[in-house]
Amino acid sequence: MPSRLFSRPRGAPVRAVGALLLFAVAALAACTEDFDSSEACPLLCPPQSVQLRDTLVEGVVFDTALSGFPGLGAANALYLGQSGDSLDTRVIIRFDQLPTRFISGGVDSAITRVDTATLSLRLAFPLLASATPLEVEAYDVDTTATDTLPQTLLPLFRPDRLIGSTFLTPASAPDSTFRMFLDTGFVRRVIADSARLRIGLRLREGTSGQVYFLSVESGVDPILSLRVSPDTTVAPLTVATLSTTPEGPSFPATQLRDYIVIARQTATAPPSALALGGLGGSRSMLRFDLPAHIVDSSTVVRATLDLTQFPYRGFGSGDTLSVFAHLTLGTQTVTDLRRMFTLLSAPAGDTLRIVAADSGQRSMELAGLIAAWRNAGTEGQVRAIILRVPTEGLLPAEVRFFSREAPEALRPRLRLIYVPRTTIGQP
Amino acid sequence: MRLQLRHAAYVAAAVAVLIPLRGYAQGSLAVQGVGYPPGQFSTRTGSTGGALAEIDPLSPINPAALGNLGTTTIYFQAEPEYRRVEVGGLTTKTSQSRFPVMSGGFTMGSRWAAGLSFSTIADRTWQNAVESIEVIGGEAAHAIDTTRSRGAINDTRFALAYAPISWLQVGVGFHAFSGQNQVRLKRVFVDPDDPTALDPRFAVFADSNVISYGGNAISAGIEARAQGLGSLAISYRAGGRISAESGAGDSVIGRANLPDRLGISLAYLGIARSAIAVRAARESWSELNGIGQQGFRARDTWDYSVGGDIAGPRFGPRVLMLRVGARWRDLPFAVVGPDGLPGPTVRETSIAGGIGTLLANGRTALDLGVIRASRTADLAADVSERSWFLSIGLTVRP
Repeated sequence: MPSRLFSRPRGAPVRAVGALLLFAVAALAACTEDFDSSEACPLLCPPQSVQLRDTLVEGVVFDTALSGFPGLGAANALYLGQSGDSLDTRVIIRFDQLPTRFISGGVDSAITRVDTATLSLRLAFPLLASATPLEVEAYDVDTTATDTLPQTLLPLFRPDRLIGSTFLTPASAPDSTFRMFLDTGFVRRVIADSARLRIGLRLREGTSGQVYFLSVESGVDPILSLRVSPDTTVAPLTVATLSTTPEGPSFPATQLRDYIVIARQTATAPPSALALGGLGGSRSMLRFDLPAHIVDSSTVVRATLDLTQFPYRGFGSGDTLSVFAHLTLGTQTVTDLRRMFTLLSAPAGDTLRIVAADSGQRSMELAGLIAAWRNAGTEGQVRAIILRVPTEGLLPAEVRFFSREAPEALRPRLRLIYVPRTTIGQP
Repeated sequence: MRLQLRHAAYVAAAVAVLIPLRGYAQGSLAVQGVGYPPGQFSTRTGSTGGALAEIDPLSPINPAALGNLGTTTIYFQAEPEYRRVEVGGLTTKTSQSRFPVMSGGFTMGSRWAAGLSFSTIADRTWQNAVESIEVIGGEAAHAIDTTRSRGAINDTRFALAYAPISWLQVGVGFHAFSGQNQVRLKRVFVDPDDPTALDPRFAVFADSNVISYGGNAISAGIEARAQGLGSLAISYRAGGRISAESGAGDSVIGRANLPDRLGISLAYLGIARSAIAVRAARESWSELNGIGQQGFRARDTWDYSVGGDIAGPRFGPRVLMLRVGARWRDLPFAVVGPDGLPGPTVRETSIAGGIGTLLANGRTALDLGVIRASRTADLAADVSERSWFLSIGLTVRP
């Protein structure tokens, strides 16, 4: 191998190559571009004016309220309450199939006795706030009639159907579980007849109070516990809720494993109101017809829905409720109004926190909804929002707003601040 | 349930208010108006401050200079810029890569040469984020405006050069100007107490646009040489119409004339393989005024330079060319003040240096240049702007 290949190069070429490499590295470094020169602003960034338009429109062309949400038996909690003449709710729990046999020591035996029958329900938040005992009564409410209707069920809460009664206090439920002993003779007859056990709970008439139980939908089922043997080594039988009616696909029977029935609620909203929440589960829809040149051709920076609240005077009027706005995802092809109320987007815009008994103007920011309408285009989608409170069907308190049938000053209005389409970027 | 439908009624008439939006902010002295004009210089010419522009066949300035091409040539240039702007004690640094000149040319016999080149006339690339407090609908809002622009106006030139006699070359060039500025603007409103959270009262305002430019020009030039002594070169570009269109080319937002340019240089060629030159150029940028929005004012500019390209030390068969130069010029676009009027003229002073050598048995030439530019304007606040340009030119003679 020629030795010159290993000879040390002269200094000048080495330096030249080094300089070239340095130059190349510096040049390549510029490939990582950084254009941001914010620190030079505002002196070298002269402001340009953009025209904002502030418009108040009565853009609501249709509004209505519907109740019955989230649906019979679909709430996460069961509200049992009573307050004089103004409020009375009942809780229905179905055990449509009770065991008829049990196994002890490997021996399968028929159930011929019931020593104890205990109904257990987990208390929901808020837990009992008062130390005053609540007397809870249990009734046999099984019937062959259409038993989701109040007029069918309520007459069944009578003394000859009373199957249990107990006092509920904070001390009696240290583990947040309410337990009630049921009439064992009655339960044994139900087992012997292979009949259904449907229990109706109410607070004793003339008392006042409220309590929440977790429902099946919350994931914590009411439980019926049966001790069917005098042998204490035999574990009690645990019975889960079951509903076998209604049959057919029209309504899911499983949803009726537990539900509430409103026996009395005097503070109902007037038909012209936009009501939200309550035990009846009201939601309100506002459908808009906004100028296309604003929604579709401009950028809406702010959209404020002004609503005028009027007070709810019923039970729980001091409660504070959160009001959410949802886009309805229903299209023009959806003709069932109730379905429009259930096809909802995630909550959009801001959240109002309102005391039910208050009154006055309330404002919701809906700019995000307007942007969503713009992105969805004009084809198909119904430009409507659904107002709801997350405690619908759980709390007696309602939020009430004036509808577009009210005097002009009280109607819903939309204030839009928008930037008309303009040419940006012209030097 | 109320099923009666009716059209939306305006309760109150639309009220128009103006709020400032830093949508067209630039953030430097250099990039105002339609952008920064790099100069259309090759690395060789740039390394002499621009003094050789009228006689350099690789710089698309004087079409007559194509006669100096000698043989078929392809040329490519990269020229990143590192900019530092100081305003009132605050410093911002930016870096940007550019490819300001690409060209190719060939000779036809001993008298004719032709070439096609692509070069940047004005580079409008910048980005800023500015916070401000605005009052919207009677309420204070904390806004962050992010604006950016990408793109440039470019010059595509086809040129012919002819040497009717040995000491004279004439040329003509046909220019097509085109380019785009992709502008994007976004305003978000944030929680004053937590700038990472959006203010739920307001929606994000975002808009974008593409400004497209199209125009033409024609240029002509001569270069007269006194053998072994020097040369005199003059070029003139007559700008034609240029228009700016918004969006997908569906609306013309401005029309103007491209700036005329007159350049003259005197070069001393008495040293073998070397050239020492002075150049002056006048460019009538004010003819562009119709292309911008109201308040857009470009100014005519002077551009002076002096520099030399000297044969330096020899490394074997290779001669290392040493270059040095200086340049003084006005920039055509001033900083616009709060009143919407252009401020004082921005002046740029540059010193430059570089080297060049042949590689691959003379089939390739590598040029390297460094340019240090300082820009000033007589503004109320203390503003200092400096840039380093690293210029790399690669010439291939297949």
